[in-house]
Amino acid sequence: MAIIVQLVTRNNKVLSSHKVESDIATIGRGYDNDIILQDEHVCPNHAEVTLQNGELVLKNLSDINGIKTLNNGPVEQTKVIQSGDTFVFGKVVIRILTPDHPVAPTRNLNIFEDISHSVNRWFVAVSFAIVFFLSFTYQSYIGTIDEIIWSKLIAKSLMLVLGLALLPALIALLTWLFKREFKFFAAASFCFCLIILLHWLSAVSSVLYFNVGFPKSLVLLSDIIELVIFVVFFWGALYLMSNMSQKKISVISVSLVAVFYVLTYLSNQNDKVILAPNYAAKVFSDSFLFVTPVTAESYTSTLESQFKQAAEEAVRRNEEADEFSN
Amino acid sequence: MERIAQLWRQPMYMLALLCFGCLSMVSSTQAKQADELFKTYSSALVQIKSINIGSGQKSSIGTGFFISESGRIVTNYHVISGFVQTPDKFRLEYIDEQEQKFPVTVIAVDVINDLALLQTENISPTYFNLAKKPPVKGADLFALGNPHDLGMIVVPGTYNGIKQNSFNERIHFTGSINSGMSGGPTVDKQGDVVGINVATAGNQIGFLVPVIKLQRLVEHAGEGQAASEDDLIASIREQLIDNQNALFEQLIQNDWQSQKLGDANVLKELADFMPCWGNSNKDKEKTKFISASSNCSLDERVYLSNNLTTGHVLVGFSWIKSDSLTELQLSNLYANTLNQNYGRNNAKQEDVTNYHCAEDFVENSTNDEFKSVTCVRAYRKYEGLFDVTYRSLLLGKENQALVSRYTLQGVTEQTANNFFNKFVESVSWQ
Repeated sequence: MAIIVQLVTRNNKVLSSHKVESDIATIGRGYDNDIILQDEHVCPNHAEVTLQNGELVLKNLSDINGIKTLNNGPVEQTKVIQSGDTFVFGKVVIRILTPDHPVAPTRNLNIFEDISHSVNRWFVAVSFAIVFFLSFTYQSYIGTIDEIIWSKLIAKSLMLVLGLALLPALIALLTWLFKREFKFFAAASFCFCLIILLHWLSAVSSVLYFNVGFPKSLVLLSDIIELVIFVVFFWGALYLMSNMSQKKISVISVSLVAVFYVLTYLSNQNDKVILAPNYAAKVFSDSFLFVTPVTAESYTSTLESQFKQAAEEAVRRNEEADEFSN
Repeated sequence: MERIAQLWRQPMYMLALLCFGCLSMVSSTQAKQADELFKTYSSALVQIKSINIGSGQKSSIGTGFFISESGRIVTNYHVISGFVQTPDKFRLEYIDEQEQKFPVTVIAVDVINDLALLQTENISPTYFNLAKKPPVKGADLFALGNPHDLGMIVVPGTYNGIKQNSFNERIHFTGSINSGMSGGPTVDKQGDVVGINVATAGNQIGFLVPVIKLQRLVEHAGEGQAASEDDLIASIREQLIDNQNALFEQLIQNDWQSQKLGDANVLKELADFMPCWGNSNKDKEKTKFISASSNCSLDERVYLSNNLTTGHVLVGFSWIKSDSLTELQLSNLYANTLNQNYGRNNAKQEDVTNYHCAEDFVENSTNDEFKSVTCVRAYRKYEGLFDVTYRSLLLGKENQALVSRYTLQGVTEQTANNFFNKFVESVSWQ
């Protein structure tokens, strides 16, 4: 028979597995052990695990620090243990198993894994960055109605691209820390792809706003799409840098966005009167126009509700002021 | 025009020079008349002070005058507007020739003509009579008042008829009227009141409210006693509604002449009291577009309080053309012009609501399509009155567009709709 000793983290992540092809395995800092631990809080001969009649027995040999449970509880000098039990030797967390210990079912390689691998290439990331660079530069170009200084436009867009590249750099750093994987280009491709999506979405919605104004339903729809993109961002970032299940990632990213949204909403509460019309109509040329115009008469009838809303607001504010002064 | 009670612009020595200057210019007979008038009527002249209760300090001063033995005093509405708007923050008093102070109450106001009728418990044996008919052009007049808190003075001057191009009539008085003389009477040789000092345009140009407006206010008030805050506000509201009805009835009935602005037909002066001014960007360097604009504005406003004036009407057009900008660049330029705020505004949180806007493409009977944005806000104290601002963009031509807009202050929904209906039919491509 054999004894398997795993070094794990306190979060139960396996750092290394060692199989000792014997019924006895010694663990300690000394080089005569089957399992050699580097931690200076571990004794040269710290413990011994034996397998007798299918029963695992852990024997404490250490006179300093000893063996503890994960919750820092004491462990008897000699203890019959179950396969899969975890103990702390000095500062090292160790799990002991028998070869017949069941393993978790094999997981399919999921599509995200494939995607993250295939986009983790420099040329994919650079392509996305270039598309973003071009679309942002074009936006600045059409927004400039006086003299165009190309070097200025380009410098501005490059600054933006480099600034935004800090975001995937952070994700990549965390991925490296948590998973020891190098995924900078995947993170960069992912981030730039989402930013491009947001940018184009705002262009499309501008064309719609040009046609129909800002009806509440359209504004709501565009807000929802924006929130979904943020959820996707957190989902992807968490997927890249952690080993959490997809379900857990989904819950966390939806809650994060929801919390941010609610906090933003709450922190922007303001009932001050804005003294100039706070309204910026979108304008495109005729070729972007696809709605049919209304008559003056029907326009004035839609204005009725604006007059009504203003009058109602006046009543509400007066009532609130009266209540406050009483 | 500037309101004379509130502005202390000129330094004192300038003022002294100005007054001595105008006094020395007049003939000796005029000086004699002035002297006699002043002697006769000085006890009917008072100074009106509005005192801020919180600080105990005066917040505005003006001149007032008795028009009856029973203690009716006339002054400008803008001298006592603080009290009318927030009576718990102010108290009113008048100071007579002997520097004695007495409280006064407000009987009635006319915000359109900037008049207020006050009442004291004292009787005044000396008082001014109101002239029965207007003077002839060139007649000698004498403005009385207490400029800059310097003491009562008399300023001789000339009647120059009714100010041209005014909707609410004002007498053009050639003579200096200064801050603090607001609310004082201007009398003819007989000492009868022909107008009430109200504003100045500087340099010997003063404006008076014709006495007929005061007569109407006095008749309307009758024997009435002190009005409550709510009554005053309700009557101000009525005056505002009547005034905008009269103004827009005239404006809309007028035949609106059109003129060329670029390739578009836009409006000329809607009335002779709404002058237009033009501008263009031709003097600018390195521009890639041509823009020409025309703006017409009503020359008068209604003063309601320190924070709030209303009754302004502004109509304007901007035509933009460019051969070197791309389609989308032009769209951005149109948007910048369209979204500019139009019309100055000094309202505060306490006066108005937020703007409520609605946008649509509107087609007029000549098939011109306007991207139209109308924003509306309500007056909190004056139910049924709104500030309405409209801006629109006329597309449909390559490389050019026309932005047309207007701002109507203190109008009813009906007035705003009537104005819009006529306006949208009056603008088109050539």
